[in-house]
This record gives sequence, C-alpha cells and structure tokens, in this order.
Amino acid sequence: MPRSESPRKKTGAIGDDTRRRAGGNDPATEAQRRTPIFIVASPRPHVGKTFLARLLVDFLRLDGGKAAAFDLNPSGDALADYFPDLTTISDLADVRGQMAMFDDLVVDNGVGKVIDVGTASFERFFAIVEEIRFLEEAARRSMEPMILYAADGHRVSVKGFGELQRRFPRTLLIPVFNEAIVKGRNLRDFFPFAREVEIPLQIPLLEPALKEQIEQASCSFAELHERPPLRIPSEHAFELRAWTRRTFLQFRELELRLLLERLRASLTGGAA
Amino acid sequence: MAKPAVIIVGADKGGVGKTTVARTLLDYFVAHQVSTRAFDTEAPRGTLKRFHPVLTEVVDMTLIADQMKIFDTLNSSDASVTVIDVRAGLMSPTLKALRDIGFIEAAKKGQITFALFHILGPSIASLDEINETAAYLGDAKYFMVKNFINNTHFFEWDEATHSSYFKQVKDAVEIVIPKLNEMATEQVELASVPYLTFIANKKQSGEPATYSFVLRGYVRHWLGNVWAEYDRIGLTDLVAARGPAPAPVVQKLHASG
Repeated sequence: MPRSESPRKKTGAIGDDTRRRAGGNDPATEAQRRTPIFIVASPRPHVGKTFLARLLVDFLRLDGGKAAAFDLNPSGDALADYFPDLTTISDLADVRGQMAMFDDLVVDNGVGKVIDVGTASFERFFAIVEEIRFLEEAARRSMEPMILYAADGHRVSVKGFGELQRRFPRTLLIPVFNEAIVKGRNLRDFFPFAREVEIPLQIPLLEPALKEQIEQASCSFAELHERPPLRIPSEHAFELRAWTRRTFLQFRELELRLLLERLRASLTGGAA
Repeated sequence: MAKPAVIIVGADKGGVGKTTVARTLLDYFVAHQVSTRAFDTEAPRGTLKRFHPVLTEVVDMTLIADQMKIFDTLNSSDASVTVIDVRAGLMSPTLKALRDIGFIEAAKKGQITFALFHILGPSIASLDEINETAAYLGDAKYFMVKNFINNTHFFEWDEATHSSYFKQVKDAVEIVIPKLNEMATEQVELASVPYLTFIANKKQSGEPATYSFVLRGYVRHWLGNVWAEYDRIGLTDLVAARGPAPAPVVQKLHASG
C-alpha cells in the first residue's frame, strides 16, 4: 500500500516556499515568488493522469516539503489512496463542493497544489474554472496555475488540447507524453505549443515489473529519489532511482524554464 | 447636457424579482459612471435601500409629497438617471399618476427619457398586465423583462399566446435575466451589498470581506450576462440622450405638486 512519507527538504524547486527565503526585491527573487498549481487533466481515461499527479505531489514534497492534492478522480487507482493525509476528495456536483475546493485552491499559502481531474470531471471542471475565472485570479495572486495535459494519440485528446488552448490562451498548457501511453509515437505535431516553457514533458517508460515493485514496497517516488528502501531488491532499486530522477528532471527543467521566463519578464518589465 | 432619464422597474405581481433587476441597473450605471439616484417604493422599509443605501431613498408613491420629491427634482438633481423600484401592485397606479401629471406627455415630447422595465411573472396574469401597462406608455421605451432568477421553470407559456401579447406593444424589447445559483443569491442577500461590492469582496463600509471566491465568480459571471443584455438594448445611449430645452412640461410637473 502506498504511503505518504515526508522526505527531507531541498531548496530551489517550483514548490519551494519561496516566501520563507525571500531576500528583497531583486528580479531573481521576484521571479521565484510563485506557488504552482498543477492541473493534471485529459478528456481521455487511462492515460496516466493519477500517475502523473502522484509524481508531481512527490516532486513538490521532495523539494518544498509541502504539497496539497485535490482528487477529482476518486475511482480506481486514486490519488487519495497514495496521499491520504494530503488529499482532499472533491466533488463539483454542487456549489458547496466547488467552494470547498476552489476557495481553498485560490489561497496562496505557499503550498504547491496538484489537482487530479478525472475524465468524468473534465468538462465540468474547466467550465467552472472559466466561469469563475479561477486561473486569472490565481495568477493575480502570484500563483502559477498550469495545465499538465496527459496526452495520447486519440482524436478526442488532440481536440481537447486544442479546446483548452482556445479557452485559456494565457494559461500554461503543457502536454505530457508518458511513454507507457504513447508507446513510441511522436505526437508533438498534434500538440503544438506557443511558448518555450510549454515544451512537452516526457515521462520515461516505467516497466510494469518496476512499477509493481513500488506498489509492493509501499514507497513513494520521493523516497526512491533520495534513497530506495532496502525492501526493494537492489537490482530494481537502482533502476527505479534512475527512472525517478530522470522523471523529476523533467519537472526541474520545467521549473527552470518558468524561472527563466519570469526573470526575462521582470528584467524587461513585461508580464510573464 | 443629457435630458433626465427615469427608469421605472415594476410589475403588478409580487415576487418576480423587481428589486433584483433594479439592483443590477444601479450597478450598471455606477460601473458606467452615470450619475444615478434611486427611489424605493416599499415604504417604510425598502429592500433596494438595504443594498444601495447611499443612492436610494424610500418613498411612498401614493403620497403627492413623495411624487413631488421624485419628479419635481428631475432637472435639479445631480443625477441624470432616476431609477424607481415600484412595489407590487403599484405599477398601474403609478403609471396612471404619471399620465395625470403630464409626465408621459413630457416623455412623448422628448423632454424626458422614460423607460419601463416591466418584470414579467410566469403566469398568464402577467401577460394581462402588458395590455394594461401599454395603455399608459405613450412613446416610452418598454422593456419586457423575463427574469429567471426566482424560478427555473419559468415561462412555460404557449409561444403563440406569448407572441400575441408581446406584439400588442409597439417597439417593445424583450430582456432576459438569467438565473443566479441559489447559494450565490443567498450570500449576496446576507451580505446586503450591491453586486459589484460583493464581487470586489468588500463590505458595505468598504472594508475587506471574506466572501467565497467561487460565489463571487458566479455573481460576476451572472452580472456580466445581465449587463450584456443592457448593452444589447443600448441602455447607456438611451439615458445619455439629449433633449430640447427648456422643459415646459416639467414645469407643469412642478405646478401639479
């Protein structure tokens, strides 16, 4: 059974609580003052949304020590199963449920947030987001909302991506190609991006046997990243660690691209 | 200078959302920097006054003194627009009084801009009001408002019946007020502030409030849709219209007091 251990803290990641180490008004510091809100979404089922959300939560916990998750995809392999202490199971069916989630999300408490938007909630979620202007408000409050789009080659996926681009032109929309899903197909042309920071992320293939090891050993990716537990056989431990580091490097690079974009904007006086 | 504009928001039936519409109008004019005053005829305690205390005065339309307070000051008031929220049952008597004091005639001669927002209810009785109302209107701008805010199952009239009534009034324009979800409606009621103030997350005093971001979002979206209707009918142009001066019939209004 997966667990939600709290790994030790590092500095310099997207989710780092930058307020604690804010050091004045220099452009570099200003550029860092943004709390990420990762919206993991796709209109397609079984494309690795919850898996991606898990990785992001662990990435945030690895580097910033704090993360909050919102589960709109509670059936099956649910995010709440992996991070019961960090996850809020949300329901958009009524206004109270919407308030419980969005009123919390929009508060910038320095904690990085991950929302796992299930296929069934896809349309409703983005309709509400659009209507209440959640993305604009989050950005106005110095947070960095971004949509990580779990892409696959199905036309519904391609169409859904284009729709989000059209509806939220100012929001970061980043395709994520999970090798286990795309199976070697080059889908880049189907998911065009406008900004350098929106370069697609690549999740390397995690062999089913290795994934099974993680589940059996009940360890988190954050743990694997640091020091694989002894309960995982060494021949698998090194592979898992290497895989986790390669994957987290994708997120780290995204973080650096964002930082660079903000830094450029702050130096030129423009808006990122 | 624009000629004075009077907007009456009314219906003979109660509970159809007259004050809601009046509130959206006041917010609209405030947002467009149109100087506006309002009269709430729910004497002695008005609902509109609770939401817009600065702009609103409570009056008793059955009293000549209060009629004078409204109509004798149209030219002298700093406000170019006067919104009157007429309580249930008083619309026809009010229109009759306006006719009797020469106000309708003044509007016909272009000295005053007069618009009626007739809030229609779901029943056929509401359609009958149209006939009665139309008789008083002259050249007033007549807006028939379908207000969905109080009832989602609204306007299940037979379309042919509806059209037959609707066509009886020359140049009538239909406005649709969409529904705002119950929780947002309730929270604005509790807050007792204008919609714009609620959206801005402020109390009546101007201090910061802690209203739900989600509900504020819903109210903003809804108000945007309502205002889109007002834009569609050219409301700001209507109230900014210029008229011939001086206004002798308004002087007659003075005399009638």
